[in-house]
Amino acid sequence: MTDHDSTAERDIRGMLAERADEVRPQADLAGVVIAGYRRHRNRTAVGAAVAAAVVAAGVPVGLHAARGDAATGRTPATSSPPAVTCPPGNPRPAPDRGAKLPDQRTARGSLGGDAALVREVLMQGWLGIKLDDQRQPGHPAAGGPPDPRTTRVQLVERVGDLIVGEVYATDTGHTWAANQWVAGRSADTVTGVGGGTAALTAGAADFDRPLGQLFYGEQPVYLDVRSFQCTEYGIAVVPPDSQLTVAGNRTIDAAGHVVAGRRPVPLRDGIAFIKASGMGSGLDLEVRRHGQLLAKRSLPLGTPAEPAWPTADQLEQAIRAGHGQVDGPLVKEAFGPVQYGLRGVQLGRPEVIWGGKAPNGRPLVLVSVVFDSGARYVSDAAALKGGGFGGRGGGILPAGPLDRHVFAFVSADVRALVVVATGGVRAEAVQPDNSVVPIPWHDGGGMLAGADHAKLVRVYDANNRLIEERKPGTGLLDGPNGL
Amino acid sequence: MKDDVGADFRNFVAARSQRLLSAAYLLTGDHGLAEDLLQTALLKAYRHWGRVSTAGDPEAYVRRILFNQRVSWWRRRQLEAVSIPAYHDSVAGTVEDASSGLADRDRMWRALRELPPRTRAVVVLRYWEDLSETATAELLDCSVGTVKSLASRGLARLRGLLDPDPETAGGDTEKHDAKGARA
Repeated sequence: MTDHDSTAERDIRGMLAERADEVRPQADLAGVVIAGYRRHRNRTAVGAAVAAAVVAAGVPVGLHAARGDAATGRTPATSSPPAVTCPPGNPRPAPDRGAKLPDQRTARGSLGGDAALVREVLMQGWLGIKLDDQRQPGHPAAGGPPDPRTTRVQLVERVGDLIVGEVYATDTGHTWAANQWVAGRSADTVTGVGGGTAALTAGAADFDRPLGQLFYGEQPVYLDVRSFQCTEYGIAVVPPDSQLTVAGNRTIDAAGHVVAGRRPVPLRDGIAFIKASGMGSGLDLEVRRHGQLLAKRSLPLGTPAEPAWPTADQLEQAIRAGHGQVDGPLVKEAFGPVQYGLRGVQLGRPEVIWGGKAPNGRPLVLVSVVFDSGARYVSDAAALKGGGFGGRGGGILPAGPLDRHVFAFVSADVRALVVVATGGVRAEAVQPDNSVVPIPWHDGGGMLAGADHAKLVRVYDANNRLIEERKPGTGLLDGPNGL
Repeated sequence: MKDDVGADFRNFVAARSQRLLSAAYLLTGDHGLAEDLLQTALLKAYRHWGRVSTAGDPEAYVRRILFNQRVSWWRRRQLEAVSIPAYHDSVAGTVEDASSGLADRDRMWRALRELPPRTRAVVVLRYWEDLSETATAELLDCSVGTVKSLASRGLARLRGLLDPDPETAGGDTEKHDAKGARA
């Protein structure tokens, strides 16, 4: 609200706030939406190919187009909605085992030395490349059909209980290239599961490089997302002597600033398959070699799922330690949105700062997460008329003694000015006409109706010393995720 | 993966659905329509939740769908707008005590529902969401000038309730609501 609101503007704000409070979301709205989505999805054929993503540093190719999952007809993982089930793939013809394909001696990965397996991966990959070519002819540049003599097995690796391989080939004119991922539970069941095409921007000389280095120059770096058996993986194929790191959960320092953190990702022969099962700020990968940054990319995958938080013990302890009259069930609900507001951030200890009953009889709690640095993420929650709860969203309080800080804000949910200072024994609000109104106070906090436009609040300690004078709605830094 | 997506989405809905439904209600003036509008917006967001969540501000994404979807619905169903009684008719017919704040707000609410959707969206964004003119323009994909114009017209229209003089009350058309260059 601005300081220059006219009476009419204030009336409009008041009317809107009043009407906004008339509706409540239905129970389990998210479940209703998800069920609706699944019904819709089951009616919709999914098969359109969308762009896969490739980042390559010093790579003489640029991604031009991509194809869908040739085996299953499903959309590649980079933009597909969450899978409900993993349907069986469409049957494929048997590969031409008589095809003249080059011997492969440089396949990377822990299974790259298994000649029979590499050969099977090669044949299945080549089959997938040919099928894709038949399904979607028309390549980035005029060229010929895929050339079996250029087939290369880039890697064969074990990923969970799957065998995963990657095969490349170019056309007879060396103007475009394609890759094909191959996956299966055993050498007998590996099959092509899709790939993409790329226009070659380098000359045929690149094909003189050692096998397995095709398309990736001297410093191959490949960062991508791919789904195998309905599980999404971040894939990194990098020089074996480089370091791969992923952004870890952010932390909040004592001043309340968000600090990024990184942790190393183990590489095997320069290869990593990273299973990221949680939703978050993306899988932020960085590749360095001898200190030099080779590539950096955020893959559209979540950060690894966090363990359940807060635990029942933590909650009980926090409720017991809270000041005021704490509504336990409301506290339990309040930490869901708090966790959402802190996604991608290293969580700390849950805390209940204060709880009380608003003049309209509804409970409100002020809760926080106390980080290791001592800073806090503070949020309120209030029970709403007719069920459910609401809140204003959270903010960060830098480290410092909690009992000397004054929280002051107007809660539209309980229609009251809320003031909390756990070291305070009395408080007052200064109204727009400069009149001073005492705030009913109970164990470190209080709420006052009819003070939506209070200019200031003041809180005093037991020695009648002013703890702090604060303008309502100030005092917290923005939360890390803008909630 | 699906469980984590679902959990993340559920947390988001738990945290923000009240606010979003309220916005939908202020936009539509009807509880049922508001629920439909919010479900439509959430469904669109859920279809791409991975990217929406990764982009960092899913609420802004949903809110953008909500406000623009409402305008698009209205364009398809313009009869809905004309079915609401005209403001002066409703004032003359139903208000018993013009000095009552409650009655004023009731009339103001009805007048809000009577505003064209884009004007109504601007009023809600400016005076309920407390968004700046720039942020409002960004969300509605129009120029800041358009927002200023619509806000001024909407405010005048609503202010006219307290001073129903045709000279001071604002118009209710959106003839100038063309997409303009961003300020």
